[in-house]
Amino acid sequence: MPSNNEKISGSAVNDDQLIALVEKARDGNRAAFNQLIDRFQEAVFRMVYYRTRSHVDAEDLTQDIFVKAYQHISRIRETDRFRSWLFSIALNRVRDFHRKKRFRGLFKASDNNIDPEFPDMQTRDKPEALDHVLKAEFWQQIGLILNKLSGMEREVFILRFMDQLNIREISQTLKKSESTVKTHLYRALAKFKKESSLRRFLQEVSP
Amino acid sequence: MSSVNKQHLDEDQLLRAVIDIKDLAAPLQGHLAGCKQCLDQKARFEADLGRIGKMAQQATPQLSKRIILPARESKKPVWAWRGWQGALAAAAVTAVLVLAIWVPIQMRSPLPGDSANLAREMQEAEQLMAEVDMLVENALPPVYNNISGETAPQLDDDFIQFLIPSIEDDPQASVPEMKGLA
Repeated sequence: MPSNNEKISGSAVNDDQLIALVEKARDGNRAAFNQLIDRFQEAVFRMVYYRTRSHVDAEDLTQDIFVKAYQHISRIRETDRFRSWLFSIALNRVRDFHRKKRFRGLFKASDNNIDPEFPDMQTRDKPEALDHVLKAEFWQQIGLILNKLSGMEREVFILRFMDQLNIREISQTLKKSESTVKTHLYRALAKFKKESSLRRFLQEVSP
Repeated sequence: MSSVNKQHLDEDQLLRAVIDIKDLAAPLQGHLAGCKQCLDQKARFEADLGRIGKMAQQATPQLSKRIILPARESKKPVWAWRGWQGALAAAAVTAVLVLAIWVPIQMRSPLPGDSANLAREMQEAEQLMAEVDMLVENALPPVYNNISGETAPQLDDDFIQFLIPSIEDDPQASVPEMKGLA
């Protein structure tokens, strides 16, 4: 598990190289921004997928997020906070997505694109079906725990242990103080510690 | 060795150590550094949390679409030829559409004003024809109709014959000269 002071990204990143790329992109260098996309697109996609559980929606939102980042990169002041800045855009975009989805749900039946949890009849007998079942079980178990957390507790828990941001990055992304982040994280962990079923499941599938 | 160092971390302290070890009081940090039991307990808990991240990553599908940035916006001035030519083309298309829709509508249904004029003209024509028919029947002005008796339809030919017999029927009509006249 990453320590609080380590910076985690989708690929091995040299901080100085990253800062240099961000500065070039900020100055209008399209190729530099494309390199930033290559480095962060998987991490952003995963972040969105954890919060939507839909492959289709996650891809569309990831595209939107990078377009928005490209349009606003000239305004970034602290180039060493690009990751937090990008994730902040991503979180806002996901919130907009859920807000619009709830609003549309008032007028018509839900048009969920959530990925099916269990394999269909055609893939049931294939070897990868077990993999599907385990993945489905994981999402079900983690969903049970996340539903017991408050909004803020859930967000810091996902950012810390699924997106693997450190405390400082979470604080910058959510624009909250580190002590606030730690308080919510403490409460989330206290609830998680009581969930023995998930912990047993994780130990069985991923020893 | 102090009592704090002998006492293992409780659940609250363990959670704080997992979140940020520097948030623990210094003595507790010292204990943790030297206590295998506490270190193992902390490591097991951190391992469970680490598995969440690892499993979440494995259970996430791959990004299949390439991120495409929008084309760079043109920095041409507003009055660039593309701008006003586009506006002109849009105006021309709009005018053609309006004509294509408006003209057939006008041809199918006449204006309400035209219908009123037409009705008036037809009425005048009918009135004129009626007057012509009346003149054909009787060209005398109405004043003379009273004298002619045309206005009294009960005066038929027999009655007129009684009043003014014709020369052939009058018995005294053969006297050639009038007596007393010399």
